Amino acid sequence: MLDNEPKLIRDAQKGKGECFGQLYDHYLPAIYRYVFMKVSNKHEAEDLTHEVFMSAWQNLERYKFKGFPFSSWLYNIAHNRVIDFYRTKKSHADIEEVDEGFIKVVYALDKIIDTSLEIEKVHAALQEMTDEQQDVILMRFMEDMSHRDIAAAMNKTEGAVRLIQHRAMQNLRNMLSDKKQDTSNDNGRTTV
Amino acid sequence: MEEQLFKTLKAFRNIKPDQSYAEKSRRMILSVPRTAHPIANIFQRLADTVKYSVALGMAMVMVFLMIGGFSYFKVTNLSPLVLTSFDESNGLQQEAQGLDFRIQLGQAKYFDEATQQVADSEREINALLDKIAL
Repeated sequence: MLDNEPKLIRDAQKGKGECFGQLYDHYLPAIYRYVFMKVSNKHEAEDLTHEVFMSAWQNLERYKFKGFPFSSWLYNIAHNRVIDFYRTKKSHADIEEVDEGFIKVVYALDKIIDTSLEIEKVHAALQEMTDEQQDVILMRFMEDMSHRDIAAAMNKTEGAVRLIQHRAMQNLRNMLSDKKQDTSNDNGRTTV
Repeated sequence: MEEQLFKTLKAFRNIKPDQSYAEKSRRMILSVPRTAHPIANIFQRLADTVKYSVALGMAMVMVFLMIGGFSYFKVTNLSPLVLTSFDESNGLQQEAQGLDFRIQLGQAKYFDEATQQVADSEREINALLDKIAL
């Protein structure tokens, strides 16, 4: 959250574009990441993120500070926008249909981190989870958001968010261990 | 594994939008003027309608008053054309004029009767003088 966020929001609500610009600069990376992880396509993520901020700018007077950060409101818009996107697209992006832009990002991240869990596998496991579980995992562990802020973004109670997180982590562990087993089995077969 | 999973999830934080995209998108968003909320629009339109209706209504009332519309409905007290009849000096003048006229008629009758009496008296005096002379 920005230090002078409430003032920036008030000024932006009065129509001061530069104040909204500051909010945009601060929250763009997080919202873009969230959308990118949901759609797995660079260009679609860019289009959707643009629409999220355009919608926020056009409907800024609807935002009222009730103890939740501005980011929760933006995530809420992004969440709804992604749902609309899949509703019109009719199907979720298949990991095999992931675009080149995404693959480049995955390879870049693989070089950054030193872990036995490959980025692509974690992403594939996330894609197999429900929308709610994906949202909670991304907001909680990728963005370090509190349960309270996640609950505000998802229009749910904190208890419900904790429950979703618990199930999501269980799913993720199971899926990743299955994938690990599959990989070791495949390796075993090739060596035989 | 748990630790590696969190580490991998944290690694996704390195995903960032292109700088050129961010700048272009920012420019495009801020170049669009903000449109008011639909509900706010409704209230604005309603306020405009009321404002213009009141102005039009007031103008019509003024015209109505100017052409003496109230007298048409027998609301004489408010008609500017009828208000002149409440001018007391005008009424008294008319009354006084009527009084003068009646006074003049009375005087004419008096003078007419007096002349007749004088003529009669002169005739009687002349007759008496003639008798004395004889």
